[in-house]
Amino acid sequence: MTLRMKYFVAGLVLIAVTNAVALGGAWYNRSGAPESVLALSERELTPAWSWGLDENSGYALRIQVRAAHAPNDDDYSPYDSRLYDLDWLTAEKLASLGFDTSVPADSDRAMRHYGRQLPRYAYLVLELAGPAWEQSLKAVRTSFAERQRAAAARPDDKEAQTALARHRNWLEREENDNTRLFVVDAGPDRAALREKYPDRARYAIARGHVTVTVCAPQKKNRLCGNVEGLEVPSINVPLALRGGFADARASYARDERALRYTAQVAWGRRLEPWLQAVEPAAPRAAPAR
Amino acid sequence: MAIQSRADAQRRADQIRTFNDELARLEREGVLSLTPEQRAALESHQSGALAALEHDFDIDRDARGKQLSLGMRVASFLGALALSASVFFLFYQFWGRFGTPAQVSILVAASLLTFGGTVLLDRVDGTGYFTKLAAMVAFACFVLNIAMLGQIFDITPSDRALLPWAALALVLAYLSELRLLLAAAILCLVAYLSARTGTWGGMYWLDFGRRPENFFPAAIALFCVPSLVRHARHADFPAVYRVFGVLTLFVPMLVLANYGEASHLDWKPDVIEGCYQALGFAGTAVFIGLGARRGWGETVNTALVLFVIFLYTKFYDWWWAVMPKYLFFFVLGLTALLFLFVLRRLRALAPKAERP
Repeated sequence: MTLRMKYFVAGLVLIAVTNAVALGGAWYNRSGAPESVLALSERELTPAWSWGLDENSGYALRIQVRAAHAPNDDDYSPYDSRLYDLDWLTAEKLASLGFDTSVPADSDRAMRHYGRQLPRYAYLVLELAGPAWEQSLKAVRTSFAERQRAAAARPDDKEAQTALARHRNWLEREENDNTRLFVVDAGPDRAALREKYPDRARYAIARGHVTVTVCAPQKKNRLCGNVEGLEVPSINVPLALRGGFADARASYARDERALRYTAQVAWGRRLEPWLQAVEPAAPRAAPAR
Repeated sequence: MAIQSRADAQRRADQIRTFNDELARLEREGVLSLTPEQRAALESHQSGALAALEHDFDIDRDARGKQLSLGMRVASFLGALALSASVFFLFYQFWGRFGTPAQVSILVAASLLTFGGTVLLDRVDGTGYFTKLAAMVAFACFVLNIAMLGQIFDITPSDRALLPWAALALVLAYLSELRLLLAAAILCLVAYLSARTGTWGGMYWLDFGRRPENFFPAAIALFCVPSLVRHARHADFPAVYRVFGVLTLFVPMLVLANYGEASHLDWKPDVIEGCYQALGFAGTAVFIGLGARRGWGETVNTALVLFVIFLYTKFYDWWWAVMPKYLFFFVLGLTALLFLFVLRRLRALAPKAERP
């Protein structure tokens, strides 16, 4: 065999094997019963931007997740959806994920010790329209009711009226727009998490990465666990299911969010998600802003 | 000397031209004079040799030919970049209009056809420029192939994709004798080895750059490749391995010499920085000496540049704030003069060594 023929065979085998491995892995992920299937709406799946590639004819949806925090008295934001400083990501849980939490957060070495630790893999539990979302909704409704009473008591107080309008906006968003998908737990053992959250129609387990930092709310250092993100944060929309999203991107860009749909998203054996089905829902009127 | 590659053929042609130039000078100075019979035999022999080399390897017979070849290389490179970008955007423009089976088929077919086309072109393309262009397009198609499969099936991003990319880039580089593709393969391999080194410690693979020591195993492996693998047909490739080996070792070291916090070592940052500064100076000096002894000019030059960077960053740390600027740059200039004297001395002392 000539040298050129050897290169030819080597290249062909390489291309074939690589594609076989990639496609085989995708087939394995989607084979058998899905690990979980969630019915997500336009609130949890928003059009993913193509980063300036306006000629990109592909279509993807971004999975919107957030986390619940204890209600606070901050008038600007009575509820919080950030993915850092999560109450349930305790020192013990962080240690189980492989972080070195031996140094007390209030010691002199803490900032450097925890600042040096790099993100680590974790299995994340995603809860759809569950207790975490209900807690967030309740906090916003309570806050709105308080602002309503205050505004009613002081009808000439411009500040009170402005605060009422702001909280009405938040309530509207929380009831209609904000994602209902919350990250509620993390761990190194996928089977243990599934045993703890057995409802596969409400809880999905996905791979993500977690970090640890030292934060100082009220000027007192403590350990903060943060979720950096999901390993697979967006889902490709195949051509066969494209019909339900015809105007989603334009609608989202106009901030109307009138388009509504329910999408069945499955997570497979390798915890990689894919879109199983999409059903358009009746559009709603553009919310007043 | 056995002619096994275009580079060997070009060197042989250059030797003949240099010989003729020197012969003409000696004749003008009256040192040497050939008889008509000797001149006829010499011209006949050289014509035959050059004709054979030109036929088999498409070499440049003169300086004008060399300049045109350089232009062809530039055109080939720019053409490859443009065609690769075109393939990329072509797919992005239309892929959403196809179903999944068609998308997968197009991606796999593009990889296979462009690779097969490159091999076929190599058989008929005497210049090699068209083959090089096709090789780069084939590599771009394969990268697109795997990347798009990941998007279509929402596959978890992984450093493992770097390995087949590196492998195909290597195959194409050795097939088409293209150093640019060899560099691409080396970069993919360095990234893969560094990411793997990081993930063994439980780190998220995309953060491999945040611990520069992750690059050291790849650097050592790269530098050893020319010693372990003979490159009779690709005489230019060992230099590429060595240059990337030196860069992969000392650029991370330079980072650590200035930012000790990024180290795996949980020591005081200034201790780490001091250690890596010392290692950087000593290491680059060793590689300068090694390169001078072995006749590896590219190793000497690369290590020398890095040595100077290490030195100048230290000068900056010590003196920028305390010295007047004219004096600071005067010191830099004096240092450069010192290097000139040292290198001239090295050149005088170094034995003539053959490149492997």
